Amino acid sequence: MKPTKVTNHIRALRFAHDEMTQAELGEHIGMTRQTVIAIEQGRYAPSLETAFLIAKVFNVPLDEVFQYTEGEQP
Amino acid sequence: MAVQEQNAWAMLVIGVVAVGVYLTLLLISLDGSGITTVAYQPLMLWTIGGAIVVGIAANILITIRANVAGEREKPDQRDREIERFAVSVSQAFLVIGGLAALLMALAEWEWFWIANALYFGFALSGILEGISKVTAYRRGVPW
Repeated sequence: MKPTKVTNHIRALRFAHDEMTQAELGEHIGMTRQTVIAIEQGRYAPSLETAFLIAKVFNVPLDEVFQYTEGEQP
Repeated sequence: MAVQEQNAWAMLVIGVVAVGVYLTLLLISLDGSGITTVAYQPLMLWTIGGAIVVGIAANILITIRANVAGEREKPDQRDREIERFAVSVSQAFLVIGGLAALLMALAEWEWFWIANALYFGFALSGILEGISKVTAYRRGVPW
């Protein structure tokens, strides 16, 4: 069971941005690599501020990074 | 595995071992004249003291190992949320232990039961905190 219904495309976006590592993304947003992994895997829903920071790192709107799904998790 | 998660595992294992050692020594000390006659005080104090010392040593070792491996990272928002979640969950046992000890004192039970109610309240609270943290690190905070 995943504790959040928030899904994301962070992994794809990282690869589209020069194969940015999880540690590098973590440095950009002030989080640990483990937290980035947890966000990517849907085990942790970041705060709104962190979500905006992630979108800003990839220079895309928030809803291109995160989606809210009521149904089955991908 | 994050340093904080390693520390949570260490605290959980140490907590379980400490309670196990205390219970084992208590049962070994039984001499047929009833559990309340056992000299539980030194057993309790030594296992509490031992758990604290081993806990500090484990924390230092985990920190040194993480520094050497270059894995040391400052706790972030998720770590703080997990800490808050684990403390809020584990407080239930502190309250239960405290209330049980209060009722036992009011009913003028023997000190053995009062001391042990408080001990197990603290010990189980610590163990539950460890379980909550490890579960939250593995599966996420349920909110």
